[in-house]
Amino acid sequence: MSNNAHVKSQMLKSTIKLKNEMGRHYLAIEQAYREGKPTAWATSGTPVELLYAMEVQPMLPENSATISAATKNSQKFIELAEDEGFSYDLCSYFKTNMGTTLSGTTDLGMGGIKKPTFMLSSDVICDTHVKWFQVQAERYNVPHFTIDVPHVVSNTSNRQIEYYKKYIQEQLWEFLDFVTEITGHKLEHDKARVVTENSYNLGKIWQEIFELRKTIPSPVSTKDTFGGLFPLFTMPGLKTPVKLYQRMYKEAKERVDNGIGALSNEKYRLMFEGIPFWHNLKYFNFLEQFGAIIVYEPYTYAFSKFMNPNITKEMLLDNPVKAMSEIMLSFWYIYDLKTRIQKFEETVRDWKIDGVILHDNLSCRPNACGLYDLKKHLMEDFDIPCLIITADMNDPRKLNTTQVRNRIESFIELLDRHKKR
Amino acid sequence: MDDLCIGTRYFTNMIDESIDPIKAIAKYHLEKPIYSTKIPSLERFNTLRKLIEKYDVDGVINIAQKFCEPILYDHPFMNKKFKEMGMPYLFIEIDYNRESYKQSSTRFEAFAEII
Ligand code: SF4
Repeated sequence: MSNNAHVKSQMLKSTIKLKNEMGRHYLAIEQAYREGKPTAWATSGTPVELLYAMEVQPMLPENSATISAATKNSQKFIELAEDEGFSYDLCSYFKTNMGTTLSGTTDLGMGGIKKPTFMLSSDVICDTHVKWFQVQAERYNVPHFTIDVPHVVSNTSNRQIEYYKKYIQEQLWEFLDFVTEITGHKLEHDKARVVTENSYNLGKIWQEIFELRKTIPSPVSTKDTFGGLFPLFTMPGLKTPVKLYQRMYKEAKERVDNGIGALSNEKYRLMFEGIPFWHNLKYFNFLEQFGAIIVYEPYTYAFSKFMNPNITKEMLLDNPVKAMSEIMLSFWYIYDLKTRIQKFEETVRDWKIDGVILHDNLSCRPNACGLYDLKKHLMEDFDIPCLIITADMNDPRKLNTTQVRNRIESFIELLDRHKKR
Repeated sequence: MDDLCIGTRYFTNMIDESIDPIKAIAKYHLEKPIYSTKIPSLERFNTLRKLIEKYDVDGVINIAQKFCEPILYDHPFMNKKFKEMGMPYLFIEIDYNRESYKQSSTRFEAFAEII
């Protein structure tokens, strides 16, 4: 096995500009408060675009929680929430958010949060979102709207799916009324067209960047994608992040055209499923000395949203409410196990992946559920090497750095034998 | 008195046999006292309060299985509300194993003494 401690993967130069985008987002929030513009907390998976289209400034507490973790503040917030009686086993995003509230931290740079005009949640990704916002809406005494999204399982019939679409659509119309009632703002068609077009373009370029990662060597590593995800959550509908992604794409394409990889000694191509360790983003750097690079993350890909081929740009622009309701029904995390296995198998093939690392996230049931079955099927049915590691995305207490590292190193040795077979 | 999904809550209200069965079943489910998976927590608390009054309850035990997030989310709220009422409240987080049963029984005994 090659063991070159000096090799480092190269981040795209444009990704560095991500800081400006984050800064822009925070400035917009500060400005909204100064000007008395309505604001909303939203959970990921909700149609944030509709908020932008209705001139409501969105804030995503999950995202703020990642900032707390990246700035090494999450543990302190989590412990504050635990002192309040919230269990050790609850989602650490929630606890980070709750701890921020309890401490009164409003500094956005360390993941602080501010009281919003209202809250928007949905159970599309997890039931935690709904309970979390309910707990907080009661504390802050603000209105809370939640969108219920039924899950599509292997026996869901087309008739049911059609009914689900209508059910979600009805809720979105209700939601628009809810916003109008609170803020006086209405959904203007022209504004909605601009916002949804930007969001569509943002998601599509992100997908194109992922397409480039199919190339051997991969031009892009997780150094670009883990952080690069930020605008997909917080700014879908704005123009500037689209420009940033275009620059990232251009740079990655140049690398592909010149046969340059993010990692010069690429040897093993990995997939990482789950939420990264925001409290230790440099953790995976040690992979580089083995020539291993993560070339695909279902999690970062999933938030590009526009994966359902039935949802065209025209449809989105002409009828955003209908399109948004369909998007909510085709979100990666509501797939049943069978579809999930199939998607993984296809991805492993298309991205020429040698091994899959699955993050059994102690915070997150939707992420962790089914991982062992998934692993079993990928290994037994398709001979894809898989490794499950147990940790937590926001709680550093739950990552045993040495133990996990040892397991990953043994896994790479296994990949080496597997490749030689 | 209990507030378990397959306990008393199951027959708190009955299926109306005089109307269309499908509608009756839907109505039954919609009118049942809410589960911890649903919101708002206040509604659930109000149901519990009514039960407490009706059955002259002296203490409340709330048991959460580890990873039963809905119950875990509600706990601090319930704790606060029961305190305001002056109602003794015992919260236990358990795993499905013998060890945790033993520990719980010790805590039940202590709770009985408090009451
Ligand atoms: S980490 Fe998992 S449980 Fe927590 S909010 Fe996200 S999806 Fe829900």
